[in-house]
Amino acid sequence: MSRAFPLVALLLLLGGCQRYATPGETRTGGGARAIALSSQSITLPTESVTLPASAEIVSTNCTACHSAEQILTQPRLKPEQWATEVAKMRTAYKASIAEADDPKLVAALVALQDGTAR
Amino acid sequence: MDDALRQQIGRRGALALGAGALASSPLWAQSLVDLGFSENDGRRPLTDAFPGKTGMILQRTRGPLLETPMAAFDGALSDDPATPNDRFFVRWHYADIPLAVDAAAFRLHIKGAVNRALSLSLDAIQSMPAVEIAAVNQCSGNSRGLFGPRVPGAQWGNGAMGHAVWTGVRLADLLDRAGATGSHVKFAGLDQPPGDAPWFAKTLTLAEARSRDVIVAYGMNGVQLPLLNGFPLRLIVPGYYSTYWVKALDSIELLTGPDTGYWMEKAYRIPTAPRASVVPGAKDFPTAPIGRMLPRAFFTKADAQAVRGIAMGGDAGVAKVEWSIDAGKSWHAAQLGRDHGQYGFRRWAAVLPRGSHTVAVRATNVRGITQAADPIWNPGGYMRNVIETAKVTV
Repeated sequence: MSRAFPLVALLLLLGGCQRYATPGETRTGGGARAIALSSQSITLPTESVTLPASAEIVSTNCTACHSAEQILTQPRLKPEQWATEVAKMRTAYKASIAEADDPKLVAALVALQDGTAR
Repeated sequence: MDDALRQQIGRRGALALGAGALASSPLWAQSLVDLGFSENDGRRPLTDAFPGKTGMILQRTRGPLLETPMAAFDGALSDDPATPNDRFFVRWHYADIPLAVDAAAFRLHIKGAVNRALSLSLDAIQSMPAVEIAAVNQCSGNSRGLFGPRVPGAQWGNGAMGHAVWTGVRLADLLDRAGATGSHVKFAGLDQPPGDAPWFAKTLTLAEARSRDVIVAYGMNGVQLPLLNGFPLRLIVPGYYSTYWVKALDSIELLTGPDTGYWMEKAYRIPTAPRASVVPGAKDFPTAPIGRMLPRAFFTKADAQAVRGIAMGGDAGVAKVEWSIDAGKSWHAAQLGRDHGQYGFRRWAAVLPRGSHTVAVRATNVRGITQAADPIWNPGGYMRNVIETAKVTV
């Protein structure tokens, strides 16, 4: 017992160390072989939030790339801020938004926020 | 300092009393949370609908943006601060993300300015020396919804972050195996852009990439990564914001110069001004790619039973966490939980005198960097690390 106890304590200590990285450094080992890698496949839920029919121009131009929550959860943006976002989607992300539609699209985005209960 | 904190408490006092302090406290039937935003626009549904995820704040269905409720981080000082994989936040830029990965067929490509281009199977990677490290993964835009004035983008509360123990191989070992040359290392994954949008890719300097703490991980908290967090491989860049932690990593490309692509040249850039802060509305200021994180302390519980939370040092260990109940005139050391490494969460707890208080909490890292009471502002909504406050009666 008097000899076994320190051994048990040492094993517990080592076991405890096994779980965590040494502070500030990657640690070699860590039971990596125990991490089995097996193929994964998932199905994502369908979106449940939709835009009102009055915002059709928004649906047409925006929701191909992201679901409606992205638009509906934005803070209140001024028309010029929405215009900047629209321009960014076109220039940076190559969204096929016709420039001629910008005024209508921006107006619809503003109207959408005005009509959204907070 | 005192004035700034007093002003902040004044501004956010009512908010701190309600849902804001513990941003994401359940409202009813565990179905909604309120992230406490200034336009009263912080209500979000909680969802169990995403595979492998439980009780997540739904920010966006496609591409998925799922936030961790603050309650999921709560625990006693002695509890492991690791965020469970099923509660770990999710952030993808584009909708076309990997929904199925064949572990046997997957290959990691190392190419570009290398002496030996490599195409490595997961078995080959797992046969290399394994390392592990505890590190916080935090979105560059964590807490963006709390910016004032508000800025567009994903409106995160404080929960776009998590701590995990990551297991994998050192990136330096992979670079050596390929005989890497050049000056920069570009990382990309299996997610794909819509149409002609720029492929998501991030780049580190070769010196940064060779840091001993940068790893290519196949393990997250002892098991393989969830697909939504980047299975089968994820780049782990401890101390850096999550934008560099490329998910479903399948391409490592050595470049002979800086990456001039959209995701380095235009996106995820911060003002070079002190604290990455500019006057609201400022334009045309010099910018640099976002990089290292800052210290932060958060409340996970503030009530008569306990005042406690988690802290991080950013790119260095947590030296101390302090609390104040007199608007920052005096600070008192909080108790700290176990140190899980310089890049991990550190639990803290405060024992307050009886009474009703507005309690502030701040973290200081081992470099001596501490949190400030006055919030920063930049148009990207990046790097928020203001001192948090909560109202509590004990």
